[in-house]
Amino acid sequence: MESRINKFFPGMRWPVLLIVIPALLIGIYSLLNNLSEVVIEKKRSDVAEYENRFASVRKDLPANAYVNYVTDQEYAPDFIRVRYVLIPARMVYGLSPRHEYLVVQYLNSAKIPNFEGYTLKKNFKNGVMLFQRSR
Amino acid sequence: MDLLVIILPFLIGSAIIVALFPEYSLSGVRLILTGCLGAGIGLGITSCIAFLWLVLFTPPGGYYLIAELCLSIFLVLFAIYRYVKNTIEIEPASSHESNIGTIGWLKSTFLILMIAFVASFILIAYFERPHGAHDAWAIWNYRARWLLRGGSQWTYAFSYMNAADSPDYPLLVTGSVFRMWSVLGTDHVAIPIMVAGVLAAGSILILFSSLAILRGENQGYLAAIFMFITSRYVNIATYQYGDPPLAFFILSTIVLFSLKDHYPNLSFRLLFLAGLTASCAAWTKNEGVLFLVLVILIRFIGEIRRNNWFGILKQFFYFSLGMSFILSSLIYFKISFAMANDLVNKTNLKKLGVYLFDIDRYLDVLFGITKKVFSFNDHIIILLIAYFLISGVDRSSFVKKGIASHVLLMLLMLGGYFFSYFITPWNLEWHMKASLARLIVQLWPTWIFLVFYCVKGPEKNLIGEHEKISS
Repeated sequence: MESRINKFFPGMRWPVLLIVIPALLIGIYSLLNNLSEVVIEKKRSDVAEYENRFASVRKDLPANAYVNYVTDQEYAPDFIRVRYVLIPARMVYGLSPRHEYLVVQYLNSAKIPNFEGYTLKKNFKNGVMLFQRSR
Repeated sequence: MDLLVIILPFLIGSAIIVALFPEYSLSGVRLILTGCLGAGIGLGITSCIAFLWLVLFTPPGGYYLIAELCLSIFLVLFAIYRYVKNTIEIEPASSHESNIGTIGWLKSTFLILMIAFVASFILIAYFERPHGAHDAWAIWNYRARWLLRGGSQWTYAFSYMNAADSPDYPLLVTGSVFRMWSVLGTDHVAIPIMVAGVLAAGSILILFSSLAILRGENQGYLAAIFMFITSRYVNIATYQYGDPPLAFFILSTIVLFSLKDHYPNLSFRLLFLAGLTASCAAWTKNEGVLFLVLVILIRFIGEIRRNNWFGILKQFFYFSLGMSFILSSLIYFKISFAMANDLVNKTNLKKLGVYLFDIDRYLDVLFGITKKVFSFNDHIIILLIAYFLISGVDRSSFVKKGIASHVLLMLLMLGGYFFSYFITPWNLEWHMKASLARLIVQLWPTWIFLVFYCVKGPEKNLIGEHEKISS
């Protein structure tokens, strides 16, 4: 076998093929796989969606103010994304302590929720709503 | 202006290297090493300057760019002056394999896989996850956004009230992204992608170019090709985390120490540069601080018995000179802005007394690390070990120089990771699952460098073969 390898790859030691063959297979497979994920399956991270969904509400929030946040989504992944896209608002998860503004994201229900002490200021019609304290 | 803000770190870093090594840095494969190291060092220095500018004056903008431009023009002119003055190229002691020609198809394979790597990176990073992965929007780019959008209240990025994850992390990645965003006036996703891409591809090119200098081009190509098998590496690079950048600086430092061991006539200049890269590692992630401490322990304090005091002190002086600017910025950041670390702090260290006699915890951590190392990237370590065993070690004195200290350094880094899991306040299983693969990535390019630095080259020993045939 070594003599066959020598015929095709003169001057090279055969263990090199242990690296080169898998590298070529994996490199090309990875590229095709990524191409299929991006072009055919159109796989996209949902943070870009969050950016779009919260773009309007961000403009309505005062910079550096503490803002409450309520959602019907799973806490950790959702809140971290919202906290990121709404900078420079200082997001506080839940209703305690209560601040002037409350951002709500209800994606599983079309009904407008009620929050005691808050009135709806703007409904962005994409599941995101902005409430303000009614005093 | 867009292009300028991207090019300036590269110009600053490369000019420093050319000014240090005017006779070597701009020819052949060394040009690749200069460019890659220059880009990394430039990002380290400019992220420091941008952070200090923010603290002392205002967020970096037009005046900042002018100041940075003046600095880069000064450094480039100085580098040109040094280059022109040193027209005679004195070849450093050549590697024992550098006279063997390049295997053409190995070079072609490398180029094809490099293109595939870059294409894969752009596809995932730019189209699939332009904002990176979880830690990018929870830590790295999150803080960069706060520095940009926070206005006069940017310190909230590091505040207790913020409760962001790991707010004590150093600022190389965050600061580089913030610097470009701030000068451009917009937080475009292309910037963190570019920072991640430059440092991820840079590690592969440093691996290639350094081994090409030390062991010949074929060995360099083969090591870089092995990196392309590590698909986990490109994946984590697209996350926009601090781990691949840290891997870049750990590899760079080890490469510079290896070059120092072989080219004693360049020793002090290489130590200055190693000081810069080691401090960049510390400025990237807390694990980089551990790396910096271990470098000082092993490469200087550990050498005292074998060398004279004065020689070691002189070497350490040049190393310290290299790390002084970035390390002092890091100390200032840690004292003035950073919160206590979530792993190494008084509360956790107090628990050490309880854990110290807990044999099960030792075994859990040890077993967890071993299992993860072996299962990393579909058991790629088995392929590496198999190649190492089949190929055999090059036993020449050239290869033996300094290798033991590098291996010891890497093993102690693993020991440091063991310790951090040992005292973790989090659920051990969850913590290891969430972070261990990334910690392996931090050391992976350096382990590959060390393996390919030691093993025999891909070429047949033509002289030996010839003698065999004639006898």
